[in-house]
Amino acid sequence: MQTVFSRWPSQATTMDDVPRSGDLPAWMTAPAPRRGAGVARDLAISAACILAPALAAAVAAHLLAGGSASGAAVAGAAAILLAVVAIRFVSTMRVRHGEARYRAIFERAGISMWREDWTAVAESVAELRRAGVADMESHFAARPDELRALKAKVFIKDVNGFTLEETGASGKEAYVGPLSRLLPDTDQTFVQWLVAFARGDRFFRSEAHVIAADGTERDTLFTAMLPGNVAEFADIVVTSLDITHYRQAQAGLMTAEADAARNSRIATANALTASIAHEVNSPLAAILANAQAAQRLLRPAALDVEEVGAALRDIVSQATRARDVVARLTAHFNRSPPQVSPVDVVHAARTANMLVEADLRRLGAVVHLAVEEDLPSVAADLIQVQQVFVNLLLNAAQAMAGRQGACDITVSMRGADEAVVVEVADNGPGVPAESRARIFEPFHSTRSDGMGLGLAICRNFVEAHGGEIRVDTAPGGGALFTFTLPIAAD
Amino acid sequence: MVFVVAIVDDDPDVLAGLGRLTRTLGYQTRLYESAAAFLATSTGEPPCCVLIDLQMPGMDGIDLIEVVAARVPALPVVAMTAFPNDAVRQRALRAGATAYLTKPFDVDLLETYLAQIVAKRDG
Repeated sequence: MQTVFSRWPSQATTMDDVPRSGDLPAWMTAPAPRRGAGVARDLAISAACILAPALAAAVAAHLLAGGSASGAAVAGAAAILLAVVAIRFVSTMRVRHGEARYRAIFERAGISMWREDWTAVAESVAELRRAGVADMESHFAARPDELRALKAKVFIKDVNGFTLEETGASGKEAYVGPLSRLLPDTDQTFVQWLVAFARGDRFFRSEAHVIAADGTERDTLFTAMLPGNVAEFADIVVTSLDITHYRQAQAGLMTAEADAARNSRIATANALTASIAHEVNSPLAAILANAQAAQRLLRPAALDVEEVGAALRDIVSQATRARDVVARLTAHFNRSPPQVSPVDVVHAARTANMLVEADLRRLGAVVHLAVEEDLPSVAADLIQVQQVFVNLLLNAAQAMAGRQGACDITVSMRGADEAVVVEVADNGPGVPAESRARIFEPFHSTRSDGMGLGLAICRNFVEAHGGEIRVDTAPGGGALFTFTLPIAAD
Repeated sequence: MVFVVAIVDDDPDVLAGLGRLTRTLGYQTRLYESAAAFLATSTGEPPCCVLIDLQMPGMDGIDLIEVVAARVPALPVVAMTAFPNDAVRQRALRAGATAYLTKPFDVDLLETYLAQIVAKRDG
């Protein structure tokens, strides 16, 4: 793979089999069509088209002059017929020429283009809209299997030559077929097409990942003009841009940043622990020394009441000193209360979903979002709400990892009396009833790689906002986490 | 015979408490609030051992242990710290400390160490 410079995506690649530099490029050695041949062919066709009817007309005129009216009529008819045939022939040539030009643009454009038939999806969306269902995302969140079935009904009819050049696919048959073959189960963008159709959007854009011909996953930016009428759904032209390298470079940068931030956090925590240990252990050392001295000074053989009194005074003053250290620390960390403002919970959930997207894909999980119409904003700290979603989504995906079949996480939201109720359900093994009370305690972890702080942090955040969090069994038997956040005042 | 224990700690409250406790064990004490104060004294009966706190402003405990080990190799040193950490412990022992105490420490441990030091000296 040879890397060439390109502004965006940040790294572009050419084909694998780049010829050795000594060889001439293929375009120099390939035969070009000779210009003369085309001119001669065009001349011959034009001459035939003009001369054949003209000749017949001349014969007709000659026969008429010769007095043979019937012969002239036949020749005249032949002349008209030949003229009509010539006109038909020329117009057919024009159509063919136009088609060839269209094919050339489609095949040779420097971007991957797919022609797809979405008729079945259009029919489903139309039927749902007529039945009064407007929110496709919520509708299909409750029916993930129907969504997967619909994906199998989208048909890729054709891809252009550039697609094959770029991916090195052996032929168009690597792509032609149902969309579900290329869009894996971890895809979260398919439902967005339905949302766009139902809304009547004019164009669509999504960052998805597809399974390439060689079995690897490629990050892909899809764009399409959406149909203006029902018939056009049979032939939607979708452009696809491979952004795998761009995304990898971006992810690498983010990992480096996260590592640096974590290292700095660990260093801060270490320094803080050391200083707390020193600040607290010093008065404790003085208290223990004085207390044990007092015990010994009370022995009959060495009784020294005055010295015992001095030791006790020192103990009291050192205990006060230790208490002040803790009070100062608490005051310091309570100085930054949560930044409460009206928060759009749906937006927070989508942002969290994006933050953990790579992890969900690795674990094979997919998130479905079902939201009640006109969901009110909540009074909360946006960052903390996002953190709650991040922890719950990761927990759900990890609980289902290695499971056979689809790993669906369903996030649903609805308004209650004075709160928004959020449910995060998975179809994993669920939480046994006996562990439910302890699962939110700090340092309670079922995984060897975790600190067991995720759910404790969730509970802290939710309760700091005056909400509640609990775990039950989902209808499918998995875990169902429910938390509430207070509705923001107008 | 009464033995003298020198104690060096920048925290006056800890210093006073440790002094009181050490005296109940039957030793005399001499208390110093800094390494410099300890090094400046040369009068009186030489101590049988010195307890040195590791975290002190100015010359810290490790440096002081090295100076003591160089000037008076026969004087046993017990290192003390309020922030236990393996690296610090290793450095103190390498610098020449014979024992290591983590604050807060129990009187029994101090009594044992001091008794061992005295026994070794008499032996």
